[in-house]
Amino acid sequence: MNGANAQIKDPITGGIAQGLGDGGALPPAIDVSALRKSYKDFQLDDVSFTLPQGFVMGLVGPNGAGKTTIIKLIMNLIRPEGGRIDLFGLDHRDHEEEVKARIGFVYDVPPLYDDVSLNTTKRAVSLFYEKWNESLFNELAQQFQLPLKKKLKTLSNGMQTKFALALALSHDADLLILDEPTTGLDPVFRRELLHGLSGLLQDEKKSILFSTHITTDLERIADYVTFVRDGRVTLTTNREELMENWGVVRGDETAVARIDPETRRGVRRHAHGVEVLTSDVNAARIACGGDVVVDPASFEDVVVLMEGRDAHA
Amino acid sequence: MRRVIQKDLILNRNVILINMSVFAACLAFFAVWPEAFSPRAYAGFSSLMVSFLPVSIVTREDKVRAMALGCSLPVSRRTIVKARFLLALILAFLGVLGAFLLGAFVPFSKFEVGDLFAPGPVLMALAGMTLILSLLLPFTLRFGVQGVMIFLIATQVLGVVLFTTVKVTGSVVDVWLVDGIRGGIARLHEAAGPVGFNFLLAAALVALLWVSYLVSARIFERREL
Repeated sequence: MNGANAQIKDPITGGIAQGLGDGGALPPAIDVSALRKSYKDFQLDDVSFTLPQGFVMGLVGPNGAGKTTIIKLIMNLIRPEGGRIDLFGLDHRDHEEEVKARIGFVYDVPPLYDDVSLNTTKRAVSLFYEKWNESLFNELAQQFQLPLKKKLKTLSNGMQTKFALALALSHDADLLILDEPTTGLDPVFRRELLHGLSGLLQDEKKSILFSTHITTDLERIADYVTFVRDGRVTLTTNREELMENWGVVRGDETAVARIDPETRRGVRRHAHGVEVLTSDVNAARIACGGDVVVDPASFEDVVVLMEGRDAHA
Repeated sequence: MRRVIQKDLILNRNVILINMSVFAACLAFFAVWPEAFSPRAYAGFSSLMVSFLPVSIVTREDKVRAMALGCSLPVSRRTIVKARFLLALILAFLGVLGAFLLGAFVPFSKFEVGDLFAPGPVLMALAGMTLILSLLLPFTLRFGVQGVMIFLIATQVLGVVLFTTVKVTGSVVDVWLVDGIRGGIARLHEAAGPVGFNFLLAAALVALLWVSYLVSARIFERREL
């Protein structure tokens, strides 16, 4: 898998969003560089990516890839061993209060008191946000059918996530950090949520970092995507770049062998031939001629093919 | 800091009320029990009891894994620790005050108002409260429920070790350690006078609390959630 670990820096913005309606450059919502963190059996190594303001980034990878660790580092729940995290152009630790006032967060397991009512939790959390919008919270609670008088422990995982989402969305956050928010949600609500998040981006300064292993969720809303595997960023790019230049070439070994190894990003062998993920689909089409089938690469193709496991292994 | 205290009070209201009711029942029992404590012992015991109330707020947060909530809100970890110390002092102080009022006014109490609201018991309660909070809060903030257990077990072990050492070595430790401390305090008391001694004691307690806060802030900032 030549070049599978190469990082691609955003070619359009170069990490800075230009002129989003206010005529000036906005600092990125998230700018992570050379982040390192190691545990006994896991290591996050040299993680870098940039999310410009006003966009959605999907953080994609299999379970255990390091997505939650990255989010915990951004939220300063754990300490990095190296690297730097800037949120809205400010160091995330030096300006912790300032940047966190602009963040709405949903974790994979909501860290909420399970033996108090939703209303009580909301009352405690709302104290911290000057822009808390009580009527918006009530509207969301009604829309999500949240039983506000009940204790958290009486709710299903999906309902707990909905409550965490209602809290995150009710203080006019400029950045939403969502760790696996759609896990445990029913398909109907999942689609509604993704639609709702897209609607949120009508305000051009709002940004979302969305971690998931359900890649179809991202196909709907992500402008940028960062793929993580084994604690490393394997690819970070924008959707246009991915859709225009990346593709999956399917054929036999001899045909796909003509693809430039520099552009090969993943290979998967199965009973009927070989699938190659390429970062230059036009060059691959010319090199292979009519002996192969070439399709645009979906997010799922990138995850699966970069994983590099053969289908019949 | 005010918002962190408010949050803790809102989320722990029931725990505080239940604990206070249990403490009140226990203290009322000790106040009316004919064979029970002296005013100083009552003061020491009540300070011990009420000091565990603020500690239980932190251990509960740890138990339900809600610490990540507090640390994700727009507030620094240092502020969280500062708020925890302030809330702990307020709750413990109000708890001790409540215990003294209970001891003085509960029907059939063997204490008079003047027995408890005297310099000796008051200082004993404040010293006990400050000592326990200063020692226990850093453990609790760093290790949660586990920290309290470690602290309690460590003090038990230390007690057993000291007791055994005194028994084995006989009067040697007794003379060197216990008599030494007792003699030192008496000499200090004599040299500084009652007012000076109380001032020195208060200063030592404030210093201990300050060091405990600094240590707690440092370790809580490094705690991984």
